[in-house]
Amino acid sequence: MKLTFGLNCPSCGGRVEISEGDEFAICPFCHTVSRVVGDDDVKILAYKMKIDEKSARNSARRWFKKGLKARDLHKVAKITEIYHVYLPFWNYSAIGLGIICGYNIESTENGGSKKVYKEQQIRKDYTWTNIACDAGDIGIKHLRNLKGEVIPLTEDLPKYEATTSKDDAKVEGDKVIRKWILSEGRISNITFHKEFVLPKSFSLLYYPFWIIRYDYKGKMYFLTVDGVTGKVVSGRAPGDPLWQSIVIGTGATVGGALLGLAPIVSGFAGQRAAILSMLVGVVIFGASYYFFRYGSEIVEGDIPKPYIFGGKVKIQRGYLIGKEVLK
Amino acid sequence: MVTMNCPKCGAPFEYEPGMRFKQCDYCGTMIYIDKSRVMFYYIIPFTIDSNQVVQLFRRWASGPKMAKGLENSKVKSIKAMYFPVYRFVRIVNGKEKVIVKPAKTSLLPGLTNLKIPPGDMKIFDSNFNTGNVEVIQPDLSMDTYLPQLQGEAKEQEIVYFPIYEVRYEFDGKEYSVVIDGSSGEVFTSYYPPRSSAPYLLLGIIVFILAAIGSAIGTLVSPAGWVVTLLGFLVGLGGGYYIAKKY
Repeated sequence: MKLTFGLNCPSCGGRVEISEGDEFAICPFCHTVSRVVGDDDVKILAYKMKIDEKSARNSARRWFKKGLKARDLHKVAKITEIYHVYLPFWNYSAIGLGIICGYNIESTENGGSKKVYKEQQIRKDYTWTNIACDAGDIGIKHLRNLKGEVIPLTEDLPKYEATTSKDDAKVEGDKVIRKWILSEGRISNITFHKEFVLPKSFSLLYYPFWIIRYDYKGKMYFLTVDGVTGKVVSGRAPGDPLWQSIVIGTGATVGGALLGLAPIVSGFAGQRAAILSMLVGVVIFGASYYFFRYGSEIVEGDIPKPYIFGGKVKIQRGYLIGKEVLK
Repeated sequence: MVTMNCPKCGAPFEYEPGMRFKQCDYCGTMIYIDKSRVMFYYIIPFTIDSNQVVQLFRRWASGPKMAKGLENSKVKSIKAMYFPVYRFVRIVNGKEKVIVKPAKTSLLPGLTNLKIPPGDMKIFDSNFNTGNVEVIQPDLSMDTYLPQLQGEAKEQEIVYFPIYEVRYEFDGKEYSVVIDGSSGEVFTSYYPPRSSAPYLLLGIIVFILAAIGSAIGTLVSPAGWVVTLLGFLVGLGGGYYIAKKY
């Protein structure tokens, strides 16, 4: 069975130089112009690793000290393994156009409210990225950065294979960009909207990360460091009962106090202010309860965080990168 | 390693997973590899060894949703294996679709939701050393799926991915989890859960004390704020105790 095909000039059989993305090729021998149909393939690029192992370790050490993690984490944690890998991402760049009409309700000076009608025209550059394999427990789904040196992908780079469909990624990217355009209007009551997504490029990017595994009291945790910017992108770390108790103590007290203030607030600022005070109190209490209940493990990156309202808060479907207003 | 030959000059080249085009090192011909009528065998190597998997299990077991003390359960057995799935790439109405289907019937948790974990895919042939890890043989043939699949074939492959099955004992009962040997994701169908009741109860007590305190403090006498302060102290002390014990 024939598996490999030489892509030579169909007229004379001579060797034709074709690079990825070429639409036409001219045979240097017989000058036949051939159209390259290709395989509907996408451009593949890689980002150059800028962070060495030492800087990645330093990033991890700094991360251990930050946030509501175990207080002794930076002293006790031992990095047991560190390696780098290139992760595949679908990268969809498009120009987003939109017309959004509607109104916002604004309060007037004499205590009433009025409708303010608005019409917005949007024209911006959008780039959406999405990991091209299953994210597993890595905690990275979207890229946060696209600045860096781009190099051709070579076979010796340690990389994870792209396993998801590029067309599914395009459909998803289209959806997300449409949402971004819509939110750009900053109109709360939309009466009419129309968005257009004009694709500019679609490519497969390999982006370098350091994967660091560390030991904390016989348990293995991990974190990932962006190989271009050196920032920690995702990770898991042990929490601390002290932070949990401070959060519930403060949160439930402040929340409860706001609720208890409602009668007096209602007396001099009106019923609406009193209800607002009660609501804010309950929300603060709820947030502190979730942290108290689930804050024994701190999670960063694109993984649901149970300590933020039980993990029910939607995970971001991408980060706006390279957002520029087009002239 | 799979070696292929240039259709023009016959020079050999090595095939890598994911490769679609390759320029011949000798004659410079651009070669296209048509994968629509063959099946490739791929394998994802382990990046987590059997010592690390125990530590990973303990990390998972210490999570906030698991029963307190689950991290100290006794690990009864760890079994490493390569588990097979089929991956089909089809062109349906001009769009590329990826379909993953089981190659082996299994009741292990995590292997029923079928996805290929992230990893560095390798060609699986006699050069790949699986060590003494068991390679699970497919019991479902690719032919059972091919006729039902929509569209035209672009690629099809069997992918073996690394998993650990960890059996552990907690409170005299045996449970098991499956851990992806490449990314470390933990799959489970059931584990002893931690109760939220003590956490919620303490939170509500503090909340109510603070509310009563501030209401009395503002409406009756400033002394009421003492109750709010009491609530705060109960929250701190009780919170620390509950977070450690329950």
